[in-house]
Amino acid sequence: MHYPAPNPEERVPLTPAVFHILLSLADGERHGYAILRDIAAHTNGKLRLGPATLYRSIKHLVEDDLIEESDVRPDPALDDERRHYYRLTDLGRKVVVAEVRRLEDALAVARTRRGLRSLLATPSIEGRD
Amino acid sequence: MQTQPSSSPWIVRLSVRIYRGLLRGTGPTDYFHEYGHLTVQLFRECCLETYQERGTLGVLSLWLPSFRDAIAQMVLEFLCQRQYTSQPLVSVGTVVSTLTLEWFSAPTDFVRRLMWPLIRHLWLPLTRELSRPLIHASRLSSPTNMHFERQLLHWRGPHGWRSFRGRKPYESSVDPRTFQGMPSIFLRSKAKAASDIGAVTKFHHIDVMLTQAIKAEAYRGKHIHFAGDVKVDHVEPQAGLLIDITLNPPKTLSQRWHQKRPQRVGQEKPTQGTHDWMHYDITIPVPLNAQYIDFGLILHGTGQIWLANPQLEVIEQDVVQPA
Repeated sequence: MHYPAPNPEERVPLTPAVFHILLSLADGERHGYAILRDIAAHTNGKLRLGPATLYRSIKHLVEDDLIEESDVRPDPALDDERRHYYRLTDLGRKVVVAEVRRLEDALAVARTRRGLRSLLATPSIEGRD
Repeated sequence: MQTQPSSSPWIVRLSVRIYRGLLRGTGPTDYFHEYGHLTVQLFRECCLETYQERGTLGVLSLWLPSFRDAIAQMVLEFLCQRQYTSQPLVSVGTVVSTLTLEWFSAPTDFVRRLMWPLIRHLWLPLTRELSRPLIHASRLSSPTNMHFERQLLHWRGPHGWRSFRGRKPYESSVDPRTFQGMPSIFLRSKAKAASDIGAVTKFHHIDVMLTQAIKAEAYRGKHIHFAGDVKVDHVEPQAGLLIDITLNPPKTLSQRWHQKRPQRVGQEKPTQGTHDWMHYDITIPVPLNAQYIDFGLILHGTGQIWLANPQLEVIEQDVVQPA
């Protein structure tokens, strides 16, 4: 039986946790601890996931075929063998791109709003209150 | 970061133990089996990193957000499973109904899963330690009521199986005139087949005993001989006479604390099927470090076994080495 290819547009919007996990895996395989550190780094510490949030999200991402467990491991001498590595699937890559485009569209709309334009012109709106 | 649980600081080990208990106690069993160890491993790594940066207080500051996160995510996972979706509808109604169904419909299981580490590592050793003198004082010094003139006084049974929802698959009593006009005691299963025991309990095979326990002081280093007349009826797979010797517990408190069950040595004289009265006996050396001696009947499975005219005596004075 032929199943239609899943439409990435139907999988968005993503929750912040799921979006950042997928974003973190965009550059290759990572294990849970590396994902946590990467998310904390690329959000400047604004998003800190708990271990349960991370692995429950990973569980559902694996079930939804957005990520998969990877057999590729770095040098075993440098790594803990109990760790599991994950990577994006093709569908996962398309979904994260769809989410980024959705956010770009939202940003483009925000930039057309006169009340927000001056705030959005600065790199960060922190400290503007 | 490589993690070595055995060399972790105490605060990290304690935190991980509590975290694991929370996951196991509050979340779905299949999540714990599939992702529990990874979640706990990640929490351990976070604790170790925090400990290196900020010490014990830093790890303590992780407790509230991490424990809150664990409980919230496990509740969400229950919701996902009940609603068959990865993005469940979260409302007061769905949460309350889910938790009612998942947690409180099986309260004993919930309490057991959540509290079991506490019970196993603290409550059981503590009660065992506190009750030790009382148990010792209550034990007999020599065999008593061996002709059952006071019914089953000082005979303990049926024991050795765990009750299941209050149901009792075995019973014991005194049969007034079964052996040469004298009373005997019996142990029998209510179920006729092993599969019926499974219907009454959650186990298909149970060892159940009817015994008298005495202090071993007077018998240490000697050989004891336990004999009696036995009758069996439809015993499957086997039953028989039993001597079970409990050895002294370790001397140090820490060793006793970690010992789950006392060390035992023993012997059985098994029989099976159906037969009339036959004489059986067991001879066994009592180790120098013996604490208690249990003697009586044991029944593996189903059927009925009677014991009449039991006798326990010392047969020689040989010195026996510690077990």
